Amino acid sequence: MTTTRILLSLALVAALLPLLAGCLFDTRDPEPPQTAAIDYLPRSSPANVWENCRLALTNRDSGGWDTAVSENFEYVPDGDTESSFGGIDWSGWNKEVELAFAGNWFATGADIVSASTQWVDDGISTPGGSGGFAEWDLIYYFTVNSNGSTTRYRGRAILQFELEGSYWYLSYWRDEQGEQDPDNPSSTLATMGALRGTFSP
Amino acid sequence: MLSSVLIMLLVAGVVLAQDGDRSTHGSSAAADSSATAPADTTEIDTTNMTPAMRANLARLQAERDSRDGAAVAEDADAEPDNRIFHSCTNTPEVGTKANVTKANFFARMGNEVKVYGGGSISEAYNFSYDSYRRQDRTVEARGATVTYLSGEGAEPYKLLPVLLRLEASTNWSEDITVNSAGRRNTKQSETRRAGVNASRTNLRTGPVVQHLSAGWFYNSTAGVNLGETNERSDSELNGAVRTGIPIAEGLSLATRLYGTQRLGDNALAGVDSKAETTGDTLGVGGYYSRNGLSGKVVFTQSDFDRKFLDYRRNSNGLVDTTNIPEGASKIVEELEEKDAWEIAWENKFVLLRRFHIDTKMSHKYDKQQYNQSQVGAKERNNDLVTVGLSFSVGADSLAFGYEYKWDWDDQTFLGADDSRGRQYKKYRKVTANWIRPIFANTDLRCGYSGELAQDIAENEFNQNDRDRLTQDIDFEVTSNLTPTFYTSLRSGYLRKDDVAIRQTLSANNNIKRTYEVAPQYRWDISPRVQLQQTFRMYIQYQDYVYDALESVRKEDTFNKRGNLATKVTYAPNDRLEIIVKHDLNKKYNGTLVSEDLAGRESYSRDSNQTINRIEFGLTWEVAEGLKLQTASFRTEDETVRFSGESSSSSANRSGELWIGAVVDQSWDLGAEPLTFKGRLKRFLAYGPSVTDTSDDYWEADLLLKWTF
Repeated sequence: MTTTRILLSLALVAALLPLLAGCLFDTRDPEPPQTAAIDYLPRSSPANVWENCRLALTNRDSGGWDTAVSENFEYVPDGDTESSFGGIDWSGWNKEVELAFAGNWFATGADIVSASTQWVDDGISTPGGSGGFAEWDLIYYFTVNSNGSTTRYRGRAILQFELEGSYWYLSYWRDEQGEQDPDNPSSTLATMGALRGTFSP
Repeated sequence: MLSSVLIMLLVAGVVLAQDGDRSTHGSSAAADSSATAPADTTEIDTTNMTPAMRANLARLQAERDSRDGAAVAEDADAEPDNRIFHSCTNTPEVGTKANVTKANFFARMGNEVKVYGGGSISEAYNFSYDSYRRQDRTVEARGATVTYLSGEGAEPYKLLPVLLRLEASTNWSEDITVNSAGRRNTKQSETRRAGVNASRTNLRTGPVVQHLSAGWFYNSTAGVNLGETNERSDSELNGAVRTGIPIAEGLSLATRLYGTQRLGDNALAGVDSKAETTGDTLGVGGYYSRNGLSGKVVFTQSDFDRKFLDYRRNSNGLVDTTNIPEGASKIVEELEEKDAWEIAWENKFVLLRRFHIDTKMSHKYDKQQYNQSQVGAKERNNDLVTVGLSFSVGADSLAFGYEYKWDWDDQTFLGADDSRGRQYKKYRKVTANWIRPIFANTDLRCGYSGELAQDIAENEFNQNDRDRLTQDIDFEVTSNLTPTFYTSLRSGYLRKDDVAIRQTLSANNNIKRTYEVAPQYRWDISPRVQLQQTFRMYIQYQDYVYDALESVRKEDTFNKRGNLATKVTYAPNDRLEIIVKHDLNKKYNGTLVSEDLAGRESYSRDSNQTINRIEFGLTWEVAEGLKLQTASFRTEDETVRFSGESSSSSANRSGELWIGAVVDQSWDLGAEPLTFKGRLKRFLAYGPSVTDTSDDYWEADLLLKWTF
């Protein structure tokens, strides 16, 4: 009888935990907006999701990055990144790690001043995808200003998008190689893997 | 300081053991050392311990022996072979692995000879070649390793009072990549390592058990990438002492002291310099197991210093050779210092055999500083508390969990007087689960999960102040109504609040709500035929918090998707199985256009999408060790988009067919087994996302291995 009482009391205490959660989960009051909202597009196609990624980057909005990236996200680095950041477990790079990276990077106050995309093969009618899946082969290019230092990144990547629930998400990103610096054709720029390695959690 | 003490001990001739392969590579060494609990690798007198504690220690010991490459772990009861050389084994193997990304070819040759005293000499040679299908890239690698392990043979065959390991290895690789502009880069790397490690385990002085180790190695690395050379050679000295002391029944203490030093030369992009690395780790742990309580308290402290040549780096630690002051070199002589410490407590409490509480608390702190990099000094702090509680009352089983993380980091840029301010990350999570049988063969499961993640920038040095709240409730009823009919009904509610605190980003604050209901059943119509159907309905809303403000210009959205999946499995006999699947998806997207005074919302439809997918799969076991497989799918994707009074539609079709075989064959050639294992598939695909490299390709994983 005593045992049952103890266990029932503990069950009651434990059952109160979700109620206690209400206090634990109070969010802070935000400041009223003074600027227009970032004009994210509906996630009704892979092209819109990719544009949302660009908007999240240029606005340093980790919430936008969170919304664009799939729960099953995977990142695979290029060979240079893998050898430069040997201590990182790249095989475990999932959405949680990706968001931590984005948060760490955006927290530096870095200013992403431009970002653009170039298709590798014009023959790919990629943007629409088919049957809830799309794969792109592209070269991305962007510039980052951070505390007086300007660095540029240009890489060729394979991206995959998937329809999960009602929305499209970016589910896979594999950097293949750094690409030529448009301003200095004799040099090669690093991929975004260098940023992921630097700001990995 | 600690490393100096250790090196003095080494000079005094103390025989040390193991950990010789714990070389220091970059800043990860200190972190690795601090991550290992000191008592986890120390043998302790288990006489006074509970059976559970002894079993746990035995498991840990087995893991350690396995890690330490115990070719010496021969059965102690076996009659030792007293010949100088015996039991020679050769293992050649060749194989290939191919997929849509690359084709890999590899060959390995292993050779091992047992030697007197329980030791062994082993050699291994390997070669691999990768050819990338999408890129203009090839990677070739070669390597060789020779190892002598003296063994800890039983008396009278014991050769040495210590376990001696001599090893030499060399690895070479070349990675040739041509980028999209046709520019070719050759990245080469060659590493060499040779040295000796001596270890002595289970050295007993009364109740105290010690493990000692010492090692010396020569390391050489030479590489070239993007036309820049990077060479380094050094000699490495390391040592470790691990001690275990039983204090009382169910209570023991373990300590670990580890130190390493590397001295040598470094040349980077034509600049030469001396290189030096020192590191040490001290660990102390207390273990207990009494009266339903078991756990450990561990303290670890480590220091690490490294002098090396490096490229100039910006305040984020990224290589920055384009913003160099006039006249300055892009190469700098860097000094990196890192100190870290951690204290952790883990506890398990069992009451009345059915009430369990698991608790974990830890505090970690580290400071990293650079003399040349614009990164300057960085501090990091991590605090963690987790509590798990589980018990059963009558027919009910309940489990609750709480997790709290409180982290911060701070940075003082090189040359700055003040730090930039702390970036805090706070995280809380509560989970609750309840399982109850409601009637015969039918269970109810309820779950709740809530988590709040907060980013807070001290002094507002950035705009990254954000709260993310996720709450998830789900219910599931599962039932085996009859032995051949299984059914379940799952429903769930998920809410995500995305709250940016600063006025520059708060316009996008929104709440996403998802409702889901998913009934399903599986019916074994006969032992050879099975039918399974799942229906899932998702409804998602995205509500912008400030959509009423004219400046925000965001509209709430609505999405609905229904999915009906049907699967029929037919196995006419034990060697043949056929699967047919059909998947029907209908999806609607809409945008809020009005809300009346009663709060009724009206949405306009933006698009309709219908996806039909049919799949067919077949597996046929032709003979023992040989299976033929094939699968195919066809997909049709139709979308209609509405814009005002007009609409546009598009349709895409895609499909794939693959055929393949799985082989698992072994031939016994006079007790020298030759095995062939493999999986081979050919893919043929079409559709808008299919490229020249993915419309027709082979996927293979083949291995031929002979042991003689």
